[in-house]
Amino acid sequence: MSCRSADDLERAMQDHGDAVFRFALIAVHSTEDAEDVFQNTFLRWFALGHIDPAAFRDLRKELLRIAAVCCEDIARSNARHATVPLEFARDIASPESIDGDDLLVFAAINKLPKAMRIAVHLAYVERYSPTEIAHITREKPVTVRSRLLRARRLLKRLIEEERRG
Amino acid sequence: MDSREIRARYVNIVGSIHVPGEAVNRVRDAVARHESGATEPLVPQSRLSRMLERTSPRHNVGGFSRWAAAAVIAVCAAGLLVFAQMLPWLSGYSFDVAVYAQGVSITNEEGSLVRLNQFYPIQSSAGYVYDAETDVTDFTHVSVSRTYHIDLSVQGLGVRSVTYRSSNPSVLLCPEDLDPQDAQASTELTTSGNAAPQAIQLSYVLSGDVLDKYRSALGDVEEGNGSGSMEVLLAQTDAKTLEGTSIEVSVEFADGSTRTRSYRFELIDSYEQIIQDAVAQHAFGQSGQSGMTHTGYFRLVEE
Repeated sequence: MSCRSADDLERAMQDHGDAVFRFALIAVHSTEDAEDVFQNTFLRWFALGHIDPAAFRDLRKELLRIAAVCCEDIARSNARHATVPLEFARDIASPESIDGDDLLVFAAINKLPKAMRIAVHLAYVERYSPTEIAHITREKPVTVRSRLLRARRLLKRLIEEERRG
Repeated sequence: MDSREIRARYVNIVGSIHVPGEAVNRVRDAVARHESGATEPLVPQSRLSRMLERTSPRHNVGGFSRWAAAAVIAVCAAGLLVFAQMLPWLSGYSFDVAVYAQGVSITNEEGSLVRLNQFYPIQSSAGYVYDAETDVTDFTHVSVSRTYHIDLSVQGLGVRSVTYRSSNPSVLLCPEDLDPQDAQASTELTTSGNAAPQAIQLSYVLSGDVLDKYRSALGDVEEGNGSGSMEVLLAQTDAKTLEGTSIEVSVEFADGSTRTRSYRFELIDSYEQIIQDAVAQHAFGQSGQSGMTHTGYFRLVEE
């Protein structure tokens, strides 16, 4: 029996639910799959309740770490990821809050390879350092650092290409 | 579009994405079913094991005891470590950072101190803090910006690009091809090949006692009593701002590998007195050319 209560779960979903869902959406490029990742992440976190609470001090980081594993599981069991980034952006975001340049940037980031866009998302949105990103994605900090460097360079090129149409 | 704008635009669009209520309800329902005594586990144990750190003793691996397995892993790791150490040598890719202030090498003379006549501001500005949104000027804070020439050139084989990062948000790096006055200074700067930042910009705000001293020094300048006290005050504040700042230099080589080195600004204890003496000798003027002093007050230390 888990020592985490339904209230803990409710609070975790309230505080970090959007962050987990956004991360999943960027990683798997499908709203349905992102919902599955969201569900699996919180259920697994809830089920892990009796194990080493000290390891879960930074809750959002740990939830994203679990979500990263859930994304891998989804990717292995499913091959429906052929979403066109720009249409994908229009589908998922509220149109009134975004303008053309926002869509341009979003489309460019979503054209990056999966590992790069995960690193960029965690650096830009969650403002995690390469070491923290490496903890979430279970990689070496130097790998993440190098990936971010290459991602930024590729991103600038992609934005230019998007601009030229 | 620069990195800050890209980040801001991405955060704006991602911030408008919210988890659908149905997904939240599905989690609630699953947990409620489990809590009400459902027999099947919430998540299969095989899935859970992937989430865990190694907190419990491992079983034997492939018929070996775990100590034997650990020994084999340790030997392999040591071999890999030696190989990794040799990789730069094998590929021929390596780099060194040659730091110069006014053409004088800082790091190549190990332990040498940067002297005041080698390190002086090439641009200096100050003004009360103004909030454009509210059109209000805050007369209790003065914003200061000072630019120093310093060259952080990377020398090495197969260097594709270099990223410089300042650990201190008040210490910004200026690109090599821009006038420091117009430069888009930032805490992170990526250059291609062996190009390097040519200046650092110190930006800080004076308030309280330091601001009172600044006003008093400004009064001296206006009354024609010389700019000595102003120079001492700003040079000492610059030194305090710079102290402990690390500049991280990451080099990406032609084969995609990267190496990082980090340098820290370290002040010596008597820097305040040294600056006072140097200004008194007119060795630390705006031009940096008048008079000479052989007193050093900080060094760059590789971390």
